[in-house]
Amino acid sequence: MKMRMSKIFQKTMLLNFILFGVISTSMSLVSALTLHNHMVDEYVGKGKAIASSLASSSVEILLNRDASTIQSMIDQFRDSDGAAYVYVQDSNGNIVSHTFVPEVPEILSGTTIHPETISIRELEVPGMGTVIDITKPILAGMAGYVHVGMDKGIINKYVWAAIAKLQIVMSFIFWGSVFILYMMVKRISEPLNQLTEYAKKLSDHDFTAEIEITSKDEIGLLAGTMKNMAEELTTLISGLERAVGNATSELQDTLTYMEVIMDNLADGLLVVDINGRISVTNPALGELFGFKNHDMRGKDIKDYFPEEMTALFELVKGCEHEVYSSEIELNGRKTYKAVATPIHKTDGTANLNVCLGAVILVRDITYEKEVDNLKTDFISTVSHELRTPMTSILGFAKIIKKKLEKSVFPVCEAQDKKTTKAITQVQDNIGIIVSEGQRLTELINDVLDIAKMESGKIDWKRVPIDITEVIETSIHTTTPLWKPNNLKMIVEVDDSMPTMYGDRDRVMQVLVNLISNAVKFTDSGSITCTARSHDDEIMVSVSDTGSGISPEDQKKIFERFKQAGDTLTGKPKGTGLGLPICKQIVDHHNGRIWVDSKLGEGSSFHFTLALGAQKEDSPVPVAAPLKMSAPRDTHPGSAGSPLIMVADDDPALNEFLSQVLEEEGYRIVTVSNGQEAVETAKKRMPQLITMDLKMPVMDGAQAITALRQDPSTRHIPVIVISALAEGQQAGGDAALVKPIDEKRLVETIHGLLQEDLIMTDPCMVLGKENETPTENLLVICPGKINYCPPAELWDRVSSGFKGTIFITAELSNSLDLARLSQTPEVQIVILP
Amino acid sequence: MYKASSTLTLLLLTSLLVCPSAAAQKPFLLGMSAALTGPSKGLGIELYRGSKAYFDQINAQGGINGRKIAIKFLDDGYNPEPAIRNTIKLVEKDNVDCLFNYVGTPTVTRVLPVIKHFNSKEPEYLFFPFTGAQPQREFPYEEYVFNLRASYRQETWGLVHNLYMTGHNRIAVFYQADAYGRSGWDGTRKALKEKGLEIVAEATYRRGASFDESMKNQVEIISRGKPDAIISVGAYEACAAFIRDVRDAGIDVPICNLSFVGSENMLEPLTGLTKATGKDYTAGLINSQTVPSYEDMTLKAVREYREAMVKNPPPPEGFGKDYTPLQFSFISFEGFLNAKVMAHILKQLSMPQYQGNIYAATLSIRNLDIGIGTDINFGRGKHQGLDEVYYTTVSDGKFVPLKDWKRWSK
Repeated sequence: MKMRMSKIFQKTMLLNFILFGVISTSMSLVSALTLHNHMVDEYVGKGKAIASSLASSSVEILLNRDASTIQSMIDQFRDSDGAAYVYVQDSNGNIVSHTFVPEVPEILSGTTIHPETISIRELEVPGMGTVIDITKPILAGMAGYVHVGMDKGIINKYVWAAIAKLQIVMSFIFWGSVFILYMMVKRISEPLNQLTEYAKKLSDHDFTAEIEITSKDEIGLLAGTMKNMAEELTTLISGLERAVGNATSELQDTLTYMEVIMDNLADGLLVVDINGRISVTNPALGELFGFKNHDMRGKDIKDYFPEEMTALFELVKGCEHEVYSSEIELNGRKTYKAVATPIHKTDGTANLNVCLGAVILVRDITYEKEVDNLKTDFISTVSHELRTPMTSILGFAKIIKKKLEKSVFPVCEAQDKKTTKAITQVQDNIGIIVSEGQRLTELINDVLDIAKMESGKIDWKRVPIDITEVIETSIHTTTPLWKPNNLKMIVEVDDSMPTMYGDRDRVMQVLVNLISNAVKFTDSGSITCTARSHDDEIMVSVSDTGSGISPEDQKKIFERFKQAGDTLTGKPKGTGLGLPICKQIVDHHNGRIWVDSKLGEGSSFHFTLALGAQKEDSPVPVAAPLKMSAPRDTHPGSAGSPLIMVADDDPALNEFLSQVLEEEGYRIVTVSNGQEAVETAKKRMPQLITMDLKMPVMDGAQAITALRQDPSTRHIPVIVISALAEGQQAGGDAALVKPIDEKRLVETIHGLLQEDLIMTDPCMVLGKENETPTENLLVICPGKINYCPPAELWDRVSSGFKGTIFITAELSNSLDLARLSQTPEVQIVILP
Repeated sequence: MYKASSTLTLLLLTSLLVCPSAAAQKPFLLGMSAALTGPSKGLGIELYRGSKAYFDQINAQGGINGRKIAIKFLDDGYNPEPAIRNTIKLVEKDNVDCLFNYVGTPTVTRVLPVIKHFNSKEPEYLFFPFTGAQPQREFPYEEYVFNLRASYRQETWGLVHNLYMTGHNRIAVFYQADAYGRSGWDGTRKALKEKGLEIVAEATYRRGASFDESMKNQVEIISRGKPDAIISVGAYEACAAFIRDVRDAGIDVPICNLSFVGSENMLEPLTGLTKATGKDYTAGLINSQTVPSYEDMTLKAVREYREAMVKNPPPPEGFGKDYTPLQFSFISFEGFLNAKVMAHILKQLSMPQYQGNIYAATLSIRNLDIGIGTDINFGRGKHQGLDEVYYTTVSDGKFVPLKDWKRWSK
């Protein structure tokens, strides 16, 4: 305050001082110079005047040589101001009168000058200083000379005195100005200081401060403005404070709620910032991981939590709006499920998404897991137990059916209607038994599959996979499904897909499953298969333009026994295990499977597969050529070979089936609808009919019924080939679900054409020769029964055994029947 | 002053309006400007006292034809400017009958033009100024001044002559740097020139110097000329100081002072110094005088003077507070003689043949005996009453007539 005031004052003082210094110095200089010159002139003038007056008046006296009279004249001038001396010389240079005390200086007494007119010279007279000597001749020098010495020292004295006076006056003015300055500065700076003080108080939020400046100048105006400002600030700030108070209490309430909620969450809650530092935890988390009273805030997530959590966090923090979950096994005893969600903050202005970190919820699912495992084990066991008898039932049913149709019914030329009807019924019933058995087997297989997968009791292969080949094969396999529906199949595969390692058949199973699903729900449009490679994984998508899946269903479809649209249609379209199995397979390949769908616009199923690593040295296979075009021993159709009628409205499928079967050495006749099929069957009497269900004019089911009603065609075995699950119910002898496995088809055909079964398929009985009841088997396997010890079974199978294996019930439990049953060209019959 | 002028006015009114004979009752007013203050105040005061003593006697006897004589005195402090102002005042304001008893050469020489100026309107004369300077004795001022005493030139001639006769050839001059000193110097120079000699050394001092001032510079200058006698032309305090310093410098040559010095006043500090130091500062002193020694009781005037001075006339009113009047002195004696001659002139003035013409009345004086053994004569071209110079020397602490110059022979 004081400093500030005095600074202004100091500055102005300094300025004032300098100003005055300059003014007084220059004024002194100028006036001194002027005065000096003026006085010199004056003195010279004066001296001249004195000299002149003396010279003019003393002529007579001087001629009289009266020294005292001259002296008295001189005396009057001696006292006059500035005259250092006056003396009169006679014409000889003798000094007549003078005013020197105590004596005439030598410089003057010794020298004489004789100027014609007045002369002025400057002399240094000892004891007098500088003197301006003015010499005037009297009567042109005849009567002598008058000398007047003007004291220059007096001039200087006067000049100095004048300067001193000037300085005194200046100093008075200076101090006066300092005083005025002080008053002015005070007048200006005092209100300024007050204002500053006031502003300081305002800045310290002291709005009660008062200021008393009532002047009407700018400062007064400023003070008024500041006062108004302070008042407005007061109102504003009190309003703000109120608002902040309200907001704070609300926030506190919310926070309390939040804290209570978090603290009472059964699940562990972990919030991690973007740098992996723990920011929030709840007590449940501590209990889950056994941290008691640990303050984990700000610590690194790695320090406290297992790798899975860290990995989860790493996964989440990069991706946008994705939720990841993973299971964490802790000490092999406990299993937790962690769900991580990134925290995104949308910056309103920049429209930027900023990831603040992640929220990880951890739930103890040990119990659920155990229950799940128990369930899986249970299902697995039950399925297995179911399967064993099912295989026998189905196997025998099939055999019985074949025998009946091949050997019994033709012989039973029953005349009466009753017998005919009974035969027909037996025929129907045995067909139903076979088909239902097959459906049941399929279901059991699926259940067993998923159960095995979930319980981890499955042997996964690890072979090089060319995904392009897999996709093409899958599409080929499913051709009978989509072709008849006039769906367009679009394949978009990147040119250079990397080779991945995994279980080829399983991967194909996923693809086939997805494609058949797509076909199932798509009435028209296209199905698109795409494959792309990303870094170390491959993403495969199957998109359709079908009915789409509602968001609720999207969440469920990967769960077991949940099918989209179940409730709506009310009709099962499969086991409901397809997608769960897919998920298991994809999971096993370190991939993910998900669906994007919109109702009415179609669905896209995507799955990714990690490239994986080569497990063992196995040559990368050249893209296996499609079996369709693969060279194989063909049995060109001859007149003696069995005639097979292929009934399918899809000409492509007709052609496909024709080719497959022609290559097997059968003669083929194709029809494109049920009506045609019935007529052709009557005319040509084919040994076997493959029947599509959905056909124009007359559908497959009707055709079969018609055939069955006609005694001439009743015996002809019919294989229902359908994309639909109800194929087995159509009344055919066998039903194959599209996609059609050629081998299965051929096997099925062989199986239905009795002689093939007996003739071509070797029989193998598991067990010792003497212990097995062979009498019965001889019926089926005439003279071709091999015996094989159980230990050698897999060797035989892998070395290329094809045929029917009879297994005693006692042994069946110790074998992997599922695996055995999926081995191509091997049929299993479990002996009771 | 105010009182005096109002009295004067009253007197004038009385004389002009009330009674014609009252004009005869109007006193003779003599205007005096003298040094009544300053280092030379003793001169003015003593001169006044001497005159006053005589006028008091006349006035006591009823004045001259019933008219008393009054001195209107003003102080000039021995400085020319006040003297000029005083003169103007006395003439124009106080309307004095004449100017009387002025003291000092520098003052008188400056007053002379003023008097000359007044005479262009009506006659105005200066009577008996206490100075021996030349200007008032020469053209153009001799017309307006009447001197009683001999001139400095006469005094210095007498001194130089006597010194020369007693074998002193190296004469130095110590003098006051003004017209008085210069006239003494001039007189000395002229006298020496007659003898074919020159002043061997000269030194001046500034007028107004007191006894306390040092004159060593001047002594130094004088001693350079190795004088065998020194003529000192100055006022008493400066001369006493000079004598002191000369004697202190070990120079014991005769030191001659002029009448103007005021012998008794000069002697007083020297006597005091002698008493204080034991060294005789009063030896070797010769003072020339223009009046006889007041110790010479054979003279009638001396007796009258002494008689009058016993009454101890006071110093001029308002002056001389710190001054102790001398009982007798050459100056008061001169004042006394001045007054005596003046009174005679005033008496003559009353005579019908002069008709108030003071100039004519003065010039008419022939062979007037005032009791000093020498007659006084005035006349056309002769405006100086006395030409006699008297020499005195110190004896027994006072100046006594110098009878025999041989004593001073080298």
